[in-house]
Amino acid sequence: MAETKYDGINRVFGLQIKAPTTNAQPGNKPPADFAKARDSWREAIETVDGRIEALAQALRATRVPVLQEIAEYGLNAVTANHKVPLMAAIMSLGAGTPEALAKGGAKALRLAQAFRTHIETDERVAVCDDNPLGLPVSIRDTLKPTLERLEAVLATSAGS
Amino acid sequence: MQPNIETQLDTDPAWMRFLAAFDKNPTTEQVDGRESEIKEAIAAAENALKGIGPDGSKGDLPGKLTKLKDEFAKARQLQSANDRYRALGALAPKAEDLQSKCEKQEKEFRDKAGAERLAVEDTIRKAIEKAEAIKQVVLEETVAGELGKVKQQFVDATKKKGASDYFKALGKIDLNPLNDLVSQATKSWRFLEVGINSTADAEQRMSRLPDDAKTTKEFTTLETGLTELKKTGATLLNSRGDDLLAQAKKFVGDASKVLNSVMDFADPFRKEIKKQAEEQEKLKELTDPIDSVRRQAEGILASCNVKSVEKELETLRDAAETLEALENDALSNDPFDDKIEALKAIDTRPVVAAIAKVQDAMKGVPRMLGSVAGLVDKLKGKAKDTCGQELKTLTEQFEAAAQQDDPGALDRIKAKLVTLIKDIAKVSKQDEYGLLLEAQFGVAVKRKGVPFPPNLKGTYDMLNAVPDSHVGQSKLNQVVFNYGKVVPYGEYGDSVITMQSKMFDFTGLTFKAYELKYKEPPFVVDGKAYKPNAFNITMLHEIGHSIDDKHDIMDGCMASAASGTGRTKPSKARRRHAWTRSRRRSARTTTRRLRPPPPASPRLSAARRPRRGPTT
Repeated sequence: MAETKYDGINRVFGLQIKAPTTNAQPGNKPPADFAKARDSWREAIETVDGRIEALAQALRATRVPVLQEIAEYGLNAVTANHKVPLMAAIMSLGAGTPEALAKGGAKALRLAQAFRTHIETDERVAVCDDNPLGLPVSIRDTLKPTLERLEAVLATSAGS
Repeated sequence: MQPNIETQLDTDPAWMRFLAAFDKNPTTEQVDGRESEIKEAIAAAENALKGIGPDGSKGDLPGKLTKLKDEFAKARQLQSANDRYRALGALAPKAEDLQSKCEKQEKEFRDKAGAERLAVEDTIRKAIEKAEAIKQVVLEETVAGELGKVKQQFVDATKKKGASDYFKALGKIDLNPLNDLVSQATKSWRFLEVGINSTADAEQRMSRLPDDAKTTKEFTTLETGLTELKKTGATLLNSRGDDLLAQAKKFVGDASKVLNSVMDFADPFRKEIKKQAEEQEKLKELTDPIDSVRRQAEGILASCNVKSVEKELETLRDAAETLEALENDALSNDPFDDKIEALKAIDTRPVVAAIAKVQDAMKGVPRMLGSVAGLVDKLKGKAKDTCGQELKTLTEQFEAAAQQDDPGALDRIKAKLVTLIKDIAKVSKQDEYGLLLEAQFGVAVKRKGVPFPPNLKGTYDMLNAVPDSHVGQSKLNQVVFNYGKVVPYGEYGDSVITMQSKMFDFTGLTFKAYELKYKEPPFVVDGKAYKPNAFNITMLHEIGHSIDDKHDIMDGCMASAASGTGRTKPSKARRRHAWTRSRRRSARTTTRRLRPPPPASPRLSAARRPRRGPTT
């Protein structure tokens, strides 16, 4: 075992000081990968939310009733059914300790996978990205890489 | 408003794709609205062309109008609402343009023609219109010959090349013979109308006379006079003679005399007539519901001849005959109060129950055959041929099955009809369950603002779960999925079930939603746990309201001694009012829950029995 700073002091001064115990044992340390993946996902979803809101405002501004209705009721549903459950699951993972990941990681992984499948296949996502107003929304391009990263981290943690 | 976007919605593929993704295909109202706009433009264009007398002055406009009408007919034939809307959208500016060209041409023609020549044309048109209006009553042949002659001369004039020749030809038309005939026919009709009304009035007064008055000699004399009068009226209505006016005048005089005599004769019986009318009204109030049930039974017995349902039909026949006998017995009672008491004692429920048994045994197949025929009729081309052939086969199978005692045959035909409806949904690009709901149960689906799909499968499954006699009925016509209230609930009123939800997708209203709302464990019946699906039980509950609405079941329960309400049985009108209030209250509060109150089944584990909701 490597010598600690206390071993040196004890040897030099003839003392028997014990190194303080800590909870921060290697197994409980939150993995930096999770935090990065989580933060990048949060940043991405906030970006997408902002762009969807911008699209909604542009649709409202047309004053065409059907487009205003989509802005009011339709756009929320583009991500909401997946976004909210995934956000809740990630929140429940807290700092992402191994215990927390072992407990809730699998669920979060399932939700992330479902969300990714949704943005890859959902027609509403596609038409928002290619919206006829030409506004940059890029739901797929923005969310897909962060979801993939999150999935990779969660797959590793949940499997460990 | 950005002017371009609204027009682009129907023509730009990017916008159309965008709208379709959010399920914003054009509504029937939008398609109909666009159709009406074009129809109006075509009618206006036709009208303007009529205002241009000679064909030679119309240029190529009639040809363009014919082409537009053809294109319009083709656009209306398109199968999908989206295609129809787009095609009509492309036609709308053409129609508007043609209308404006026709109107411009008409204005130019009329400005050039001058007021004097136009007045001649107008006089001829009006004379024709007046004569044609008479044609609509009964004296058409009086004026028909002369009218035909004038119309032909007018048509010949329109074929002239230029305006000058056209007006010259119009000036040669002699309107006097036609106008004389029209005048005579109009006057004659005025007299005839008065005479006919007097005759009808006299006849009605005679029919209301009490029975003892009808046995008198005076009555017989009046009856003979009235019969003669009716004969004269009928003869005059078909008369063509020159003396029609004189005869019509005489007819009015005779009719007045007969009416006066009838009134004089009826005068002493006035009190008795009033009493009889009141009695008839009371009797009608009691016999109407009985007769309605009897008519329904008779209709079924006359039209249904399916062998496998013979037993149920026999029961219905017996019940209907018993009801008829009871009604006749009741009506033969004397005095009047005994009639009323006997009618009040008649119970129609055995016939209602027997009708339900026949309907259940028929599995809704005749109803479905009828509605599927309507769906096939709306199809076009090959799809119409294929589906029509399948429907023909199924109809033949039904007719063959009717001759055999094969209890499984109706189930098999029903399953094939369901498959056929699904096929029709596929080829006409409609929602499978939406079409099934419409064709199988006569239930239309409306979606109000919900951003998620309505739960059509759940609705269909629940309607499929109740007996056939409870569905396809007049008190359940529509299911509305409404994005109105945050907390999901169901309500029923005016033959419409409304499912409310703002927070959850309707398909998400499963046991989880039930658990969340009521914090209840699953039902346990005979040791087996059942997890109530919040959507299903709410839908079933609302279907139950519609059945109650149809049969007034809860009214009867509330009024019965066993109900424990302690209420006296109110009158029919009062019951209806009370029920309506109850229903409104129900819509506001009682049914605002994810589940109906559970039945207090003795087999339900007491410890696990969910708490009972408020009484509906």
